[in-house]
Amino acid sequence: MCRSHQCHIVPPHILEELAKRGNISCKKTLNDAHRILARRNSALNDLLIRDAIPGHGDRLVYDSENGYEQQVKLVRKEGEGPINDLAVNQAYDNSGFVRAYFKESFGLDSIDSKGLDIISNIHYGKDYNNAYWDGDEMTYGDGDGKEFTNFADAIDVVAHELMHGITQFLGNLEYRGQSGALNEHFSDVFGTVIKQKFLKQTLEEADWLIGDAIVTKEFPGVAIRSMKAPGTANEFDNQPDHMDNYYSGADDNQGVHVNSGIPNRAFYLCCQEIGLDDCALIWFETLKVLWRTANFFDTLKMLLTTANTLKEKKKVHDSAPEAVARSFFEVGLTLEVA
Amino acid sequence: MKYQIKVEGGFTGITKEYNGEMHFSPDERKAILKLLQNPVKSKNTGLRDGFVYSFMLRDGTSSYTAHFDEANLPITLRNVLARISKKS
Repeated sequence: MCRSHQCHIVPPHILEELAKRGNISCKKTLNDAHRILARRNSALNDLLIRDAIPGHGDRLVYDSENGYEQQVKLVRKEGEGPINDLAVNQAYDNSGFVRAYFKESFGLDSIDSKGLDIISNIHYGKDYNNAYWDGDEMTYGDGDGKEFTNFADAIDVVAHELMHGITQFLGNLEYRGQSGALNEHFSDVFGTVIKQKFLKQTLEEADWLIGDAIVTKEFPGVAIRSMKAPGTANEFDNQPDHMDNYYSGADDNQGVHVNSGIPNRAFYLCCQEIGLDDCALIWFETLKVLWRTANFFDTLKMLLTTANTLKEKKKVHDSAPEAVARSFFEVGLTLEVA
Repeated sequence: MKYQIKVEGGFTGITKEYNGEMHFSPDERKAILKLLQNPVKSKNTGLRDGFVYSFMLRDGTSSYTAHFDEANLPITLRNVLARISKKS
């Protein structure tokens, strides 16, 4: 058995192999080591050492005042009422909804399960068409008004970015290749789940689109991505919906926003069989046992293991494992039989 | 100076490319080339959905290439990009 104190001298490739075989302490050691290393490198670059500051999961919204700096002016913090700035209130309310979803559904105490404060930066840059998670906080642009609008307005965008934070602390999936596509996939999964909860939609009513609220009428498409039909959301949408069309180029960190279409479609199909809540539970519990370099096959394997465990505990539908297997078969992913 | 700038990644995953020519003052030109020759190493490995910026500028027969992310793109180059994207 591998205890955490013994894992420190074990080479990473052995830790990864043990993690793949289900050793939680080795997985945790790997994830922690990479996170600590990244933070230490960052701190050394800054020539100072920052200690993690314990928080209460409070929401803090900063206004970047259209510059390219974060945490410029604190404009609203936890418990304060709305102010006369729509983007501020949207970032505050949407991040609150996401926080509540994870707390109520999975007992998660904020992003890191230790009450990390939820920091949002709004009005970032000029005509800035993006939202991102930087390892500590979220940042939203206003959009250029021509093709994109305010990114903090969209609940699925806010949930997507916040989920990157949760993934960092749970699975810490490396942001390139298949593990990077999975990192994007988990963000899209909980982006769409939380959007459906927010809009109180049934599976039939849901559009399964990601980012439909941030595109203008001039934008050549209806959204950024489609989980139901990857590759159809807009003129630039090159997401595959099957392994036959897997992107193997170098762009976009080896296609992290491209190949996520494959597991996205599998998630959509699985939801049609066993429902949104069962799928959300299976996916969330699976993320907890994934490791930094996990690929599509590793993830399918762990999804099946998790689905079986949850089925035995009567927490998901009896047909969940078969539904997961069938959904991934539809997108060209099956487990190799030895 | 001729430029070729590629902005990829981001939440949208939609790549934007800008190709063209722009006039810079001698001071601007000097500052830009200095930044491209000595890019600051990125401090942040936790970036998710950040843009990746690839700059290629041609000055006479010499060309200068550098890659940046959200954490290390200098404000001078952000402003160059803003001028170019406004123009296109």
